[in-house]
Amino acid sequence: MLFKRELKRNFRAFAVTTLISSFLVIYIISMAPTFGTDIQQILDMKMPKELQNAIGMKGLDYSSASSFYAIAFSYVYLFLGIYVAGAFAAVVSKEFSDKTAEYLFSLPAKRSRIIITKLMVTGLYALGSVLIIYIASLVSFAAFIDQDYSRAAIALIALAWLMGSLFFGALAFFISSLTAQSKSASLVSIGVVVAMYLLQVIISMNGDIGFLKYISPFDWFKGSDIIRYESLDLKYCLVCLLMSALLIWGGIRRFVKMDVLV
Amino acid sequence: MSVISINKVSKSYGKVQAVSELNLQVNEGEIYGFIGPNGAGKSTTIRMLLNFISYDSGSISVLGFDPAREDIEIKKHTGYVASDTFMYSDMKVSELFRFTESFHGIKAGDRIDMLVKLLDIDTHKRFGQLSFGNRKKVSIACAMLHSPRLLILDEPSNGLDPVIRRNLYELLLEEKKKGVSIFFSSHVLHEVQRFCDRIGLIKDGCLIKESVASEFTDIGYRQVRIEAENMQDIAQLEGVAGFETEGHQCRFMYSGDMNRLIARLAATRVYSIHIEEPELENVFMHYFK
Repeated sequence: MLFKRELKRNFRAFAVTTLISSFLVIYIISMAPTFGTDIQQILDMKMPKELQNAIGMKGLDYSSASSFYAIAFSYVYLFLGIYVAGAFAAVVSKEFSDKTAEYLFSLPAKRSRIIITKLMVTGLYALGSVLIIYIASLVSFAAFIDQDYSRAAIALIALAWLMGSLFFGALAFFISSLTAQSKSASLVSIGVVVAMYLLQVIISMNGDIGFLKYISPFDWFKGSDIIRYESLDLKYCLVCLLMSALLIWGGIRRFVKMDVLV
Repeated sequence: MSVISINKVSKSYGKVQAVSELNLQVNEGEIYGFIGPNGAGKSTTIRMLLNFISYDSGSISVLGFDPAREDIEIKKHTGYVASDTFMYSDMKVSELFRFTESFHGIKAGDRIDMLVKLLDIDTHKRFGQLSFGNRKKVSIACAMLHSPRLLILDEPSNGLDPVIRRNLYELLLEEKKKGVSIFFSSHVLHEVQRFCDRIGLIKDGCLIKESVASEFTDIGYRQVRIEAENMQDIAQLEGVAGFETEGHQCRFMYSGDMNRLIARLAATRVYSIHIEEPELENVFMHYFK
């Protein structure tokens, strides 16, 4: 019943995010046959090279439709990051903010089990969102692109979204365990995601601070690199999974021990 | 046998000592009234019983289980009503019943029907549409639908109309007959006095008085009401406290020699005189004035 309730409660944000992201992907891929290599000339005229690099548009071969997909990657990544941060930040903190925690935790179930169930539903929605965007991507390629393209690269892009979302979700969940106030937890978490995106933009424009890329998940997975090399950096994958596991464990631990003061 | 056993339990929030070396026992099958002013530590104590709040020192046992380690076992057999009732506002009352049932792994149709009828609950409305009193009724029904062995009720009658309040207390007395133990706090002192077997009074996190309800008001004072011509001299008598006058009437608490009071009254014209055991409210005021 808790699982069902959480499904219902989180559906709207999931539907909105998935729809917008899917349409964005479809729209960008549909532009590939129209613009083709012209896009590089347009970019060179309108945008400095540093900025192209910052938003993941530099060094791409626009004769390939996959390069357009690399552009879509960073926007969907940011959008998914914001959605997931808001959703995970509210998983338990909303119960405290709405003062329903006392009722929920008075029921005979382990707090950790309740929290894990709620996390699972939010995680499933994040996974569902990525899967639907992935399917929308495959359908768009099939519908709009005549040339050959790498299905492996498209799958890896989806995997990168999934891992990035996992990290942002875990981070937001941990942040919420520090405040237990749903609104501030969501605002701070979304702020952190946007700040990490901006950090990635700044790093791309300024090579001197390149060492900072280790703290921004937007630098761990870059659409242009995934398309070009058809692989994910294993080192960052491990960091991402390890950090996510630690943050979720820490968040659960804090919430389990947290006093319920209504 | 004690269903609740609190031994030398202390809890502080930073520098504020909420509960200090509290000792309290609730026996099986009794109704225990827990009273005290706001901020005395009642809700903190109640929340520690269900592991909502951890405690700094001492030990607690509820139904033989340790709340810190075995709270699930406690919650399986305990019904809890919070003083401020917050449940999911988007859920219908019937959905809340099903939600609560699902955690207990039961179908309590007949029991829910009985509670709905007795407490006059509209199950079709969403929780968020209900008034405070109606929310309280839903909370009481959710706490009782699994036929718990122990009820922990924090201000259960708050917001209820007199008819439902009477029904609630009748229901609690019925539950008591079945062997259910009830631990509840209330500000409605005459109800505590009427329904409880024992009463505990908490002040600044310490239990300052505890006794069976019938003896609780025995604080060495009598409550006196007099209607007389001249009452000025009475206020000067040794043992008079809380002296109040209104026209030819006066009321006060008296702990002195009753013969001296009567001798003093003999000097004036007396229309009526009432000497009674003090009410719980007077005892409360005695400790908190």
